[in-house]
Amino acid sequence: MPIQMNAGDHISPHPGWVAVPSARRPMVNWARKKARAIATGMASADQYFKTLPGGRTLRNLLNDSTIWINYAPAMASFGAQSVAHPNEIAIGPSAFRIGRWTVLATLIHELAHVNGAPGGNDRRAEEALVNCGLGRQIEKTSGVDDPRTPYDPTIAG
Amino acid sequence: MKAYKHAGFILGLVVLILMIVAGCRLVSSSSAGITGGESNRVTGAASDAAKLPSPRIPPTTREAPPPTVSPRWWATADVVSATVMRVEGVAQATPGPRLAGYLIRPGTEQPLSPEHTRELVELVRFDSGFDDSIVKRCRPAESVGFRLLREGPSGTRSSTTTELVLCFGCEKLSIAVNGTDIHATYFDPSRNAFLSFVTRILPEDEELRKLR
Repeated sequence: MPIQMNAGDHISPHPGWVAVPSARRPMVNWARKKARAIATGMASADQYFKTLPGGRTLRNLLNDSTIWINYAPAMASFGAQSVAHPNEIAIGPSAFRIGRWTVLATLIHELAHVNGAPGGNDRRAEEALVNCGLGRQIEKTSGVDDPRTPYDPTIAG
Repeated sequence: MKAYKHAGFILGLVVLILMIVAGCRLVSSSSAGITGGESNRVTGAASDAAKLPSPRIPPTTREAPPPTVSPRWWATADVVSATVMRVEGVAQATPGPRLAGYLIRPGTEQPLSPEHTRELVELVRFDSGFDDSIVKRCRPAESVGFRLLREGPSGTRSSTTTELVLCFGCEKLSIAVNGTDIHATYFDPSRNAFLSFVTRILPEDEELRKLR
């Protein structure tokens, strides 16, 4: 069974994280589907995820039904992972406002954390996007963000 | 008479022991006096500094906090002086001098008064002001950095530098010691307090004044 979206059938142990509003669910469903297509069609995605401390592939994470995608209505950031409950991730309103590609990017970023990518000033979670085709290598090497891609080289943690 | 003699002897012994202990404390707490004259050590509110001793870290473990001491407390112990500057969250590939991983804006570093340094340490040590329960994905925005010079372990002349960065885009506090990242946390619960603080110490900074 695949990674699950909280549609009211889950009570997240992380305070303040709730079911994804019905109006937002199509975007999350699209992001899950797109992430699976990336995991299947882009070898670099699984290869990169295997290098993270958790050692799991993106495909494996997307097939893990114990991972829940929640909604964090009060969160200003794009998304977050719960430290105490590492299989709980949340997407915030700002990601939805920007659009489905940012929701997808946030999902991939948070799955990198589920797979052990550190927070703080570490860049590995965000660099997962480059290896999933959601950013260009030149952005990473030059440090200049291309606004046409969801990857942002200034994002740390 | 004999009883008085014994009592006197015991009293004298107690006084002698107390004097030895007091002498030892005086030697161990004497400051290197980096700025000369009266010690300018700031370790949070004066009354609190008296109640809560700074964690004494053996020199061999100076580079990493002991597991029982919060990095926010350990990294702000024994502060002698501090500076403040504007910094920016940039990509790793962007060249330039860094403070806790953030790019330093040239020409913005300035001294922080002892009073403001004490206030900063208090804010950083306020345990309820931080959220360690999540790891965020967010874009950095207006950021302020602090460089804290801390005196070395007692009996040594060495000093340690702690770098703190407050990013108001992510409400993230980043801490580095001697150039090595040691901790990051989020100050969402105390955002208003930190914002009030930085706008007071940098009153002419228009970008910070626009933040809500």
